[in-house]
Amino acid sequence: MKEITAVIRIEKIGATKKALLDIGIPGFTAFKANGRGKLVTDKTLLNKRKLSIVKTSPLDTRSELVMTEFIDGTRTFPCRVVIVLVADEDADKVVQAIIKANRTNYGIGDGKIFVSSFDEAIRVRTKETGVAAL
Amino acid sequence: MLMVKAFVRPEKKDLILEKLSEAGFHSATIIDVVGRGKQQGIKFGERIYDEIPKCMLMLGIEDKDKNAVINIILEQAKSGDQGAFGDGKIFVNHLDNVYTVSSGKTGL
Repeated sequence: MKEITAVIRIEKIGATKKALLDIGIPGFTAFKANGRGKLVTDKTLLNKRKLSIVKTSPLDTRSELVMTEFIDGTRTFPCRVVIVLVADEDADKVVQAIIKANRTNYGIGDGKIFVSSFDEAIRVRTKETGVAAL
Repeated sequence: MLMVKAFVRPEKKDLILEKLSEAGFHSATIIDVVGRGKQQGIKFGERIYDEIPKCMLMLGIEDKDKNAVINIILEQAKSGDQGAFGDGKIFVNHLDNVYTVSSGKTGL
């Protein structure tokens, strides 16, 4: 059995829930977290993202600095962690669905998905174990 | 690849993240959690506080970086020279796969 831990944008939770429902795996656990990814060193990507935000509202120097730190990953920013437990053969399907639902055109900051194995699952109500409990 | 989950004192969080970043492990996910450890919480007179706030740091790392990352956390999370109860714990898990959403590529 696989545990899929996806760290995603906070506003993408709706799209992710829908994507999981569409592939027939509705169960998940989610919580809010803070995080940062790799430092973004690619200046063109940074500027592109910055311009698209500046377009919505003009900035002074101070807020521009803060914004840059948020985009390039120096600061931690709010994100969502979604945990989905699935049988081995469904893992790839779920990963692809989450990637499809969460990808944006920005090229940075879309999140990460970690896949790990776990040994046992038990349903509290019926005491079923293994894949049947998922 | 490994997933390191470190439960540390909230006030030590910023220092640990700074040192990790300096050593080249910049990525992290930080979650505020509550919990208790072996000491069964903190007892003040009759009152037992067993939901003690901690910070959970989640880091995806390569196998070879395991010792470096753990040493940095151990060093920074310790309070005082000797360490104290409540400094936290570190758990390490195996990761089968890691995907980056924006590129769809596997690997860290």
